Order: sequence, then C-alpha cells, then structure tokens
Amino acid sequence: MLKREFNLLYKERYGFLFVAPALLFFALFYLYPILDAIKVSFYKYTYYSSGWAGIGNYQSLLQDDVFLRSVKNTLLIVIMFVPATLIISFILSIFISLFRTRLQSVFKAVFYIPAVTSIVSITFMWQYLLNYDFGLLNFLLGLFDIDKVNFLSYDRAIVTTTVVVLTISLGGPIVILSAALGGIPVSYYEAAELDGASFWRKHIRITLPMMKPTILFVAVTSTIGAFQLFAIILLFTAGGPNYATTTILLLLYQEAFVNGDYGRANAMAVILSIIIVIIAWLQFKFLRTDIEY
Amino acid sequence: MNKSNLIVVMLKLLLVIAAVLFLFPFYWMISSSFKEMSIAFQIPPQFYPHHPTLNNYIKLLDTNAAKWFLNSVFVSASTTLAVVFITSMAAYSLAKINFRAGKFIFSIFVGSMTIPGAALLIPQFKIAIELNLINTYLGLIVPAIAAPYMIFLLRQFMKTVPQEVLESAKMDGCSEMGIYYRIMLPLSTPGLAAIAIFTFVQSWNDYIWQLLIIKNTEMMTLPLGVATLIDAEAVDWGLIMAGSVVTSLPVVIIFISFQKYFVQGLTVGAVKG
Amino acid sequence: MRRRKHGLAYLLVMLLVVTILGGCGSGNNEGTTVEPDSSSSSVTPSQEATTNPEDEKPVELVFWNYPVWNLPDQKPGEYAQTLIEKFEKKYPNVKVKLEIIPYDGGDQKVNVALASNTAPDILNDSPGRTTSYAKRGYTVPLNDLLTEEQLKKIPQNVLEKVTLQDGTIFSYPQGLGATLMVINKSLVERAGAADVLPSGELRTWTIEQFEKLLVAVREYQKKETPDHYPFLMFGLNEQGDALYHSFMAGFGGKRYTDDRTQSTFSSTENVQAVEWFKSLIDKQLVYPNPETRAAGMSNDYFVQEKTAVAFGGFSLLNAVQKAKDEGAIKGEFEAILAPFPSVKEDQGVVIGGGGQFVIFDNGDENKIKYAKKFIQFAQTEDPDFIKAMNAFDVYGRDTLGANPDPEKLWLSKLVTDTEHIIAIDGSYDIEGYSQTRAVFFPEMQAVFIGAKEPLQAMQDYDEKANKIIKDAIASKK
Repeated sequence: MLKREFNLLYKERYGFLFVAPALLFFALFYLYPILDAIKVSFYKYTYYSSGWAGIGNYQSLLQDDVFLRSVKNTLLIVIMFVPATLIISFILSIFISLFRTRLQSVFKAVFYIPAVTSIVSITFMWQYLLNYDFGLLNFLLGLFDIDKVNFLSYDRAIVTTTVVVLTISLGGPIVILSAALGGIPVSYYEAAELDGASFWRKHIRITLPMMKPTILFVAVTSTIGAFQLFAIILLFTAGGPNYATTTILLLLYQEAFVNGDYGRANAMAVILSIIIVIIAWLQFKFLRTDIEY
Repeated sequence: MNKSNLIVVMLKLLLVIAAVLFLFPFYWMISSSFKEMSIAFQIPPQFYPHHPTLNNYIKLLDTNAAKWFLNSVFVSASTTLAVVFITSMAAYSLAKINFRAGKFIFSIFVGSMTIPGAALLIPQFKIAIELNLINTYLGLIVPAIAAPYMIFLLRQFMKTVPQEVLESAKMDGCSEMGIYYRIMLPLSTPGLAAIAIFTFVQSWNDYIWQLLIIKNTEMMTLPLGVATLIDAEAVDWGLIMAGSVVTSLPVVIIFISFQKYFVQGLTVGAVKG
Repeated sequence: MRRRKHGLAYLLVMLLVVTILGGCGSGNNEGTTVEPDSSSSSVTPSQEATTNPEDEKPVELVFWNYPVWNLPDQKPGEYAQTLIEKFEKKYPNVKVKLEIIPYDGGDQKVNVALASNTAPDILNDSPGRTTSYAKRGYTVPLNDLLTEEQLKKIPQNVLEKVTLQDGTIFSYPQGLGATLMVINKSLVERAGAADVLPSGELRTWTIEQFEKLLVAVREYQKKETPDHYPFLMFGLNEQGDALYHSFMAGFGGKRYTDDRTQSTFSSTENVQAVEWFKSLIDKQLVYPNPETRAAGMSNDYFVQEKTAVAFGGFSLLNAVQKAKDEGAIKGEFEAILAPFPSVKEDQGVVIGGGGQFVIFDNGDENKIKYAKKFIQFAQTEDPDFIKAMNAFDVYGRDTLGANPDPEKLWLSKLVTDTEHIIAIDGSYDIEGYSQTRAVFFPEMQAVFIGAKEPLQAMQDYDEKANKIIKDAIASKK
C-alpha cells in the first residue's frame, strides 16, 4: 500500500519539483504570516495589555454597526465594480484589437497609465472635475443651466468613488485580456469566417470560451481588489460622509495602526477573507475551465 | 456607411474620450512638475505652465535622486527576473502537470490573496528580521518572489495551450524540463510579458515595504527617497510632481518596450504545425 | 486588475495637512529668522555634563527623525546631522545613527518597529502620535530630566501635552508653537469690514464680530466673485477637528470632565458652538457641503484668495509669501494672525503645542542613559538647536534674533499670555483618544448634511466616546 503511494508520488515528482521554489518562498512570506495573523485574531490588544480573547473579537465585530455598515458598503462596491470591469475591459480589449498593432500599443499604454501615475495626481484631477465650487463638471452643467451637483454627497459618494476606481483599474484587465486575445490562433477566426459568422458571432463563439480562464482570473482578482479598496477611498472621502463609503479595509487600517488593536483588525481580515473565498469559489464553479481545446 | 460601421466609429470616438480621461492626470503630473509650488494646485488649474520652470528638477538633482533611481532599477529588475522564472515554473506545474496535490496547492495560492496585506505586514516584517533581510536589497526582492497573483495569472494563460502540443512533444521524447523550456515558455510569451510588466510596476511602487525595510538614505528607492524630501513646513507640490514624474517614467518605458510581446497570433502554426 | 500593495502617497495629503495646520499643536513648523545671539536666560540641566570615566565603553544609539530642523542656510532636516556631530564631540564613546523617516507612512513605520521590537532609541515627533506610543508603555519617563525651576518656567499647556494622566512626562517639553486663524486683511478691507477685524494688543475678538466679518465679506463677494465664500469649514476626515474644538472653547465649553474620564461634548456651550456652525451653513456664509472638504483645501483656497479667513499659523503665512514671490498673487494680500474668537471681547483661543523627543525603552540601561543625555544636550547645551527647531522656546529664550519678523514677535508674546489667551485642551491624555477622534467627525458630518440635530449628534458622540474611554480605562492594569 505504502509502496504504491510512493510509486505514485515518484511519478508525480515533476509536479512538486516545478512548484517547489515558489512554494518555499510562499511558505515563508505568506503561509506563516497568514497563520500568525489568524492566531492574533484570537487575541485582544489594547494599549496596556494583550490577552487571549477567544472568539471575542469576532462576536464584537458581528454586533458592531459600523463594521456591518462597512461590509454592506464593500459589497455594494463589489457588485458595481466587478461586472463593470469585466464587461468594459472585455469589450475594450476586443475593440483595441481592431486597430493596427502600433495603435493597439498606444491604447493599451493609455489605459494602463493611471496605474503608474502618482495617486496624488489622480486625486487632484478628480477633485478638479468634481469640485463643487469650481470644478469642470459643475461648470459644464452650469452652461446648460443645470444646478450644481454634489458628487460626494451622502447618497452619491459610493457611486462616484466606484467610477473613479474603475478608471484607474481598467488598465490591468485590459492588458491581460489583450494578452489572452493574442493567444487565440487566428486560424480559428478564419475558419469561422469561412462559415459566414458575423462579427458578434465570432466573438461570442470563439473569443469568449477561449478566454474563459483569463476572464475567470479577471473576475476573481477584481473581486479581491474591490473588497480590499483602501488607499483611494482614504484620499477621496475618508470613508464619509457619515460612513457612506467606509470599507472594511478602512476600518481595518484604523484598528491596526491607529488604535493598535491588531487582534480586532486581524479578525476583520479573516472575516473579509472568508467572504471573498466563498465568492471566488462560486466564480470558479461558474467559469469551469476543465475543457481542453 | 451602414449601421455597424457607424457603431464602430462612435465606439472609436468613445475610446478617444476615455483615453483623454485616462491621460489627463499623467499629463497634469508632468505639467505641474514644471510649475512653481503655489501655482501647481490651483483650481481651476493652469492647463499648461504659464511660467515654466526647471526649478523642481534642479532641486531633485541636488538630492540623492540619481542613486535612488538606480537602486529602484536594480531592485525591480532583479525581482522581475526572479519572479518570471519561479512563477512560470510553478504555473506550468499547476496548469499542465497532473498531480493530485496540484489542485490543493493552487487553491492555497489563490486563497492567500484574499487576506488583505495590511494584516500580514507585521508577521512578514518579523520574518524579514529573522532572515536578516532588514536594510538590504534582498529584503526588497525576496519577499516579492512568491507572487500568488502572478502564479494565478500565468496558470490561466498556460491552461489555454492545447494539450496535444505537449502530448506530441512528450511522444517525441522531450523531458519535462525541455517541454517547459522549449514549448511552454515560448508559447506563453504574452503572459510572461504581462507578468514582467506587473511585477516591475508592483516592485517599483511598493512604497510601504520599502519604507519598512530600508534605513539608510543612500539605499532608498526612488519613491521612498522622494517622500523624505517633503518637510513639514509647506507642501512643495511642484517638487513632489517632479519626483512622481521621474518615478513613473521608467515604468512607462518598460511597458512600451514590452508591448511587442503582445502581438496577436503568436501561436499561429503551433497546433496545425 | 493589477495589485497595488499599500497605496502610493495616500497619506501625503492627510499627513501634510496635519503638519501644515499643526493639527492639535505641534510647534516645529513655524519659520523664524534666525541669527546667532547670546541666550539671556540660563536653563540648568538637572544632570551633570561631565562624563564618568567608567562609562567609556562604546554605545550606539539609533535616532529617527522626520525631515525637520534647519538653520537658515541649511536644507530642512540638515541640522539633525549637525546636532549629532556636536554631541559626539562631547561624548566620544557614543555613536548616534541618524535615520530619516518620511511623513508619508512614518507613523506606520514606527508602529511596526514597536510591534516587532526593532524600535529606535530616540524619536523626534509630536504629541498625539507620541502620546499613543507612551500610553502603550513603549517610552521611558523623562521626569528626572527636569528641575523644579524648569517645570515652573514651562507654559502649562505644553506641560499638559507632554504628560500622561499619572504625571509621567513622556516627551521632552520643547518647541512651543501655536495654531490659530489667519486673515486676509486686504480682502476684508476691500469688503469694507475693517471695523470688525480683531483689535487690541492681543487681537482678540468676539464670535459676533467674526460672523459680522463673514457677512460683510460675503456681501462683497456676491458682487465681485459670486462663487466665493468667506470661510471654508472642513469635515472630510478627522484632520482638522481642532477647528471645531477651538470654537467650542471660544463659546466657553469644556470637552472633558476634570477627572478626565467623561466626554462633555453635549454641554450647553459646546452644543451652542455646533449649532452656530450649522447656522453658518444655513446662512450660506461658508462653502457648501463641508462634509466633502478636506482640511488642506482650506489652505489652498486661502492662498488663492478664495476665502477671507482660515485656520492655520506660520506655515500658512509662509505659503502666502511664497505665492507672492512666485507671482501667483496679484494685488494686495496682507495676511495677519489672530486667535480664535470667543464670547468675551478680551479673550482669545489658540491651539498650543510643544514637545518632541521621546525615548523608547529597548531594555538597555546604558543606551537609555545616553539617550537622555542626547536630548538634554540638544535642548539645554546647544544654543543653535532651539533656532534650528523653527519654533518658540518653552523657556522663553530668544529664537528670533536681532531683526524679528513682527508677526512672529507678536505670536511669541501671544503664546505666553495666560490671562487672556486660552490654549485649548489638547486631550491626548484621554484614554482611547485616537478612537474618539474617529467617531467625532462622522457626527459632525451628520449635522452638516442635516441628518441629525446638533444636540442629538453631540449626545450620540458622548455616548460612544464615553464607552471608548471606559473600555480603555478598564483595560489598564
């Protein structure tokens, strides 16, 4: 029995060998820290003491209005952000492919540039656009005799923020989907054209299925990203007004680095992680990629 | 002009508008770097500097900026090389090699991405201390090598490589290493290019980790060094923008030079042969 | 979506705003003209300056400093190295390693270092942040460094800032400063409201006067620049909550009970202040939607002549000067300082501040001893240091030199007047203070957007704050 096991393992040795180096670094810098973080979530840290808290942190969080509000806000952002990212980046990458190669590069660079632009500039530009008193958008509205709009109001802030985040995060998915597009053999399209397929037909029948693995990737990673939004929200709305845009990460950061309660912060991280894992698992199920071509 | 042509034209127009929206902050960053401090942050802004000045860049040169730049280049380039090699091996294994533990390992990798980095910062830092990585360039490179995001991405790309290609190679007597090196890697060039770009950018902009690890001013990376120029007295936005421009330019250059690997149809002929 | 690990300069705006506005009282960014002079008052250190032969074994200290301190001919932050050289000359067995930390993320770096036992020996920062390190037990008490004489000389509000509730002095009292209001005098005069400007030696004024000024300027602006308003209130985040605290003090309100265990934001006077703020919005005397304004916007608008009054201090005056030098300001712009208004005509409110060095307890007796010598040396044995700090001196020693800037001279007198000038309650010593700040600004936002009445908001705040304080006290052993 054991011998058979070893035999099998020997046959599978290349699987392990190729993944070993990554696994080593991963164990050091991810696995151990994750386990440590989970452990810490069962402790209570205050200014004066730290002690075992069992599930105390979790209980307290699940009863905390502000935390629950942040969960709701975060989910709202995810629901708006992820489908929008998927649809827009997919359509955009297809349309970019219609241009000549040179122009393709230009467009991809353009969409990706926000990723390398200082976040201060990005915030500034949006403040210029959205500034209630002197901003460009309200100025344009004024030309048409429309009242000024407060884009960061209690009701609108979360939508505005999501739109802003979209503009700076489409670059990555577009690059990725474009790369995946490049991996689809042109011959497939030629065969379809011979069969008389229209533009849309071609893309729905060929592009979509062939890009499933990559689309799954974009879905999962943009979900994770949306759940972990922090920096831009901090600069834009600081979670306000009155908690309208407070995300889980915002609270986590406050708890860990301002209040010094790492235990509670890590408990938030664990809860967040569990939520994401569930959603990601559903996404994997929905976009199964076991079909080989 | 029929209907579908019109739609295409309109969409191309929309694309151009979107492009302007995306480019403006970058343009503004560059133009502000040539403005004197008090003008830089005016609303409504000056669209082009009315009195352009090189002052901010001169101030930058007066600091260690050149050394910081080189440090960043070294760290990011090394990280990118290491990551491309190690993650491509791991991705190949998880995408194409059938072994039972593979699925499990893959889920651990993906699962690890769900914990926010902020919660891992302190334990990761402690490990860096244990391994004597504080205040070293290695301290910036090594922790970045196991990049679940990159492994996940490459694995998805590699999954689209048709199995027949690998099968026929095996039948021709190719070793696993050979398959990886001579078939998988060339076929995954778009994916590898994407990984390279993302890793380079991520490593270059990884401000918080650089802040924690580096102690000596001469060893600082560019983003970190520029941050130390900001004193409490008054916000020199022009200088900051100049710093940001210098920080972002290399990344843009890398991006543009890696573009050629994205060319469509690279896999033409791979299947039918 | 590419993964952005921990944000780029995300704290830039926030932290810079804190330091620009002297957020709750740090004094080290008031620029002064500095010339060598002879110190008139003597400040005797309480430890001997001579070294004992037996302490000759080599000691290495790690010193973290933000990029601050400079003499006029130096770049910001350069003086730190000068100070170290002087100190090492006197104590040749000690080596001090200087590490500069940026404002962006500096606090996080210290926190991570503390949590991983890799903290420096000496840190130079302001109360607020240092108070939280001290409360967690990371710092070394400095009471033994100050004599009775010194303690008597130091202004009360500075002492309060550097002392914990049990009397421990955790930060070295130094670098006196103030944050108050800045007025665009020229704009006010153009609006014909020169008569309501603050007057008298100390430039005190009443809240009524202040409002009259706003009304007059607004009338003027309606004709000339209808999109402008006289004043910008902010409420985007907790930075700048001191603005509201200052006016509460102006109305005569106290924010905490004397035993420091209860929050009293819902007292009559404090609620009056909040109601008054709301009335400013309703009367359209301030920019609308304050809940979307970051504190930094106040500075920018003021310099761009879009407001007539702003919250600030010397940094703002310098920003105005710089804008004039760079040609961004056309026309007359005379900026003057004034305390916050109060209900009494001869009384004013300022946000005071002081306190810098802290020593972290890394368990090494010898290092602590020399760290204490270091900070003692800087403050009492190096005449250039108090000038390089670009702040006023807590002992009243002259830092302005032979040709002082008149505004700076005026401010130096203001911050030492204890009869007519109230320095607001710094409140860093309150248990759980930083958490209460995070709860305060959403309540103000609720008032601004009309979701709650001022009394209700302050009562809700007190409830939450008291719970935070209670829990924090309970977790103390």
